[in-house]
Amino acid sequence: MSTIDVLWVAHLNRNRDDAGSDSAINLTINVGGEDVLDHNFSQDLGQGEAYLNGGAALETPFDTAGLTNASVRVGVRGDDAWSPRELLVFGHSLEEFQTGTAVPIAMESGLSGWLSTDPSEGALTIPLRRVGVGSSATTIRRLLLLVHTQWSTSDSGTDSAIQLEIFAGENLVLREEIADTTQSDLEKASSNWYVMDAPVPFTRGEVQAGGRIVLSILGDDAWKPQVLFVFGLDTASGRPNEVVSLVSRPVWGPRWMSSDTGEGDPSVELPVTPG
Amino acid sequence: MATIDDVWLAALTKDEDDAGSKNQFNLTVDIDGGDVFGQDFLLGWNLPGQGSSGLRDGQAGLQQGKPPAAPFESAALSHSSVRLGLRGNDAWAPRHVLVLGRAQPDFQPGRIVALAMETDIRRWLSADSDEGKLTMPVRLVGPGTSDTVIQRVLLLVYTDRGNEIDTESDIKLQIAASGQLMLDKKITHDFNQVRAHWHFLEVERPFTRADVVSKGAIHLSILGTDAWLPKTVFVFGLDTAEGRPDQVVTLSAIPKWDLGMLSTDAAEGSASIALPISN
Repeated sequence: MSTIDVLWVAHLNRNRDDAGSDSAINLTINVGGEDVLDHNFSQDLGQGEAYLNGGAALETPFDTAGLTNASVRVGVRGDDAWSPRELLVFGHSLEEFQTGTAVPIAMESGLSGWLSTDPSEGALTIPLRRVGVGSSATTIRRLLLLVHTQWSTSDSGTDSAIQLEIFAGENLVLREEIADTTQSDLEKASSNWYVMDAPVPFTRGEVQAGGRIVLSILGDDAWKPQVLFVFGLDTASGRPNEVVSLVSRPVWGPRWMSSDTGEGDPSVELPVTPG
Repeated sequence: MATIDDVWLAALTKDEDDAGSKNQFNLTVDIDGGDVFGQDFLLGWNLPGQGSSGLRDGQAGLQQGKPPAAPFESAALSHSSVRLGLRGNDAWAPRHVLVLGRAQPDFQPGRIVALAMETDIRRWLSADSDEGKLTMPVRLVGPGTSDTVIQRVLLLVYTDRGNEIDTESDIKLQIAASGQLMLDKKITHDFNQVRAHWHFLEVERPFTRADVVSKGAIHLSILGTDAWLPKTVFVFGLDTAEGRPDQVVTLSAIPKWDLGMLSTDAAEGSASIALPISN
């Protein structure tokens, strides 16, 4: 188990009318009747959009050992009703922050309800069940790419497509191009939630054994990601039971990406989570 | 443990400025990541023309919820299971909160059991993050046994709406156990319509429910001629003399009072009524 001192909340709104909200998200994490975390995350997001929130050090770190399926709840602090479809809570221990190990904590998938402080519009809070921290031997059937694009630099967003490739050993097990989805793709100061099927199931251990994970940009509209995570999911559909940290780049670094090598790197081999 | 097919929420608001709230009170009960109960409570009402719902400063509330979609096992609850929240920006400062469950008939003792409780709460609740928490946990308490030593008594009373059912007469609760009077407390405020009351009562000497059953009784009496018809009366024994209890023993639970009017005027009702003891 891990001591969490940096926490992230990622979500994807349902793509239907009014599913977005500007009501702040309230996250509580309870261990043995005591709230070890009660935190608000701002959001102002439309339907079908995603956001990756958090990343700041927690005032009071907590241990994941005491968490149960009843520990984590998400609510909203306003009457602008919100309808998330996917929710993932994960964290880091500061000790492991630089090594690129993210710790999945709780996740729900395929949600269809509404949240609001208005009783006529939705639930005040909903539970988020625990997910297991997958290992290097967990079979991965899908990929979740979470990316937040730099906000502080003009033109940091891109209209160019990007591509993720995963090699398990020498075998290409996934190649997915991300071009134009219902989300605001790779725009400045925006987050994206992309799920991809792995045609060939694989493990992190196989990637570590001579394989690699490569992120490429397929055009010359330069892009500057700020934060990037890749997780492996152990189920082919629906809610996963285990979530495997594959890549964790809470700080992307100085390099831009572009097929124009004068502007940035056409492709980057991402560091695979150790362990 | 018990299979719970109904849930009650009781609360006492702090008696300080702006502690009350007109917002609804949201109670969730979660087992293993699934909400087995989730409901909004008004907790406080007013007669027509006398204001909106909600709890005022210092006011108590007691409300039976709608039955859960399916009964749930109290044994499956954890300290993380029960949470209370507020559905708006009118901040609320609860002082004490008690969550009760109605056990299915095969459970002994009694049908009303305490599930979770917090006392002397310091938090404020509000949807406005500048004013308080959105929700708070309510930790589990045990139902105790016949041999749990009772150090304090909690009396919860609700008087419904109706014609001449409220009273300005004082009332008294007496508990005898093992042939001795263990509690003899007079309550001197009015019992108005659509009002709940929450009273912690000190005992003369600690006792057990078994002591009450074997050679004792619980009597609710009225000390005047202004007749009173309560709707709900709960008497619980707490295993701590102060602070939050670990065990809450059901001594008597009458969700729907059917014991007649109380009055010292014999033409109007009984001056004293023996309450049924939960066994």
